[in-house]
Amino acid sequence: MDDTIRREMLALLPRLRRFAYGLTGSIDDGDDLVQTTCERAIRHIDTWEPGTRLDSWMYRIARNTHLNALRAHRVRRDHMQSVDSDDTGRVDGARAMEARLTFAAVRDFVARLPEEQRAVVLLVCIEGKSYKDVSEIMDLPVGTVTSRLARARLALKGLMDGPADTDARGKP
Amino acid sequence: MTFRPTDETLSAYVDGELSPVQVAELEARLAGDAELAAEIDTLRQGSAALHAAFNEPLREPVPDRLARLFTAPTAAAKRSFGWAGFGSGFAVPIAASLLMLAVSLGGAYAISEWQVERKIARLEAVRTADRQMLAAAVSKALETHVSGKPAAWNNPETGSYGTIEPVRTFRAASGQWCREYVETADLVTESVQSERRRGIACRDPDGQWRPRLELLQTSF
Repeated sequence: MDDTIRREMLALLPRLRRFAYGLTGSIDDGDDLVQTTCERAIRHIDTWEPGTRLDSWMYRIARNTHLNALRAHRVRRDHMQSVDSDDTGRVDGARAMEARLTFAAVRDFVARLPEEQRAVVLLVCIEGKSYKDVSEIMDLPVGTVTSRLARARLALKGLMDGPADTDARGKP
Repeated sequence: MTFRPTDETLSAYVDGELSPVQVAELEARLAGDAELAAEIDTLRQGSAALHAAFNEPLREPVPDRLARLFTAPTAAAKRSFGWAGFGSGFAVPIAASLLMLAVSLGGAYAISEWQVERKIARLEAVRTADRQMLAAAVSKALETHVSGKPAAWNNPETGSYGTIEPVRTFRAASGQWCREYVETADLVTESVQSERRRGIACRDPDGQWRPRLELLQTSF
């Protein structure tokens, strides 16, 4: 594997970690996923087609690795979701309280999304991928990407509008 | 009577996935439909909230165990004299010691890694520059502005901007002058993060305003 690709991969790590954080719901589990993903990418670099997007290829490996792990362990992650996965005391005082209410509610929302919607939401809304890129990463028709996103957004809108969920406060 | 655009259409609009014709149609309609415009706004805020909620990995350095996956073999390969004959039990400690050697000797190796990190470092620098500018603006506003009069700041290099409004002045038990203020900012990095804080800072004898309390009220 040549140095250029190695450097590109290294530069992708922060974004890959963010994606894995969203998929797994925790930074540590996400880093485990990123490690496996990178090891696979390095081992199978000859299957990457030069000229195609390296980041899309790695998102795809991460997504498939995560799906395989879920299937293998039959993990129902929505029941496993750690309540305080973000509560690591990185920032202190009142500021942390305020920040946690909203961010924790959003992360909780993502954790509860159906598995099929989660990766689409993360790739489009956070990683900024186009629908076409996502359809290639996930082997889905663009129409399916569009409808999954719309459904997830509708649910998120409900969370933001509705007083039903007390965690949604934190906005004046 | 026109039908309401579908949720798919609204969502695709927010993501910039509609055709120019569709965009024009929808925007014409948005101009006269405040309810629909508010809905679009909520969708946008949702995206921004998602962005902010998972941003932590971008703010901290990549853990060593991950970065090492990409650096160690480079150093080992550069100085490899055919490991194939060695058992893996030898190869690992030798590779590790050669890596140390490469790090201590190899300026070239260090430079190539530095280049890789530069893009990330630049993003960090942008954030730091904004934070510094913001801190300076808070100091200046507290020193020179009367309560109720907001002071604006902006960083032309990043496009970030914000306001600081002192709201109350009081004397602390220590005798120091303190001021409460409200700060709003749109910080531009890969996306825009809007925040609103309420804080209290007190003036030290050296003339510096030091924050005593800061409350993040909203952040998207």
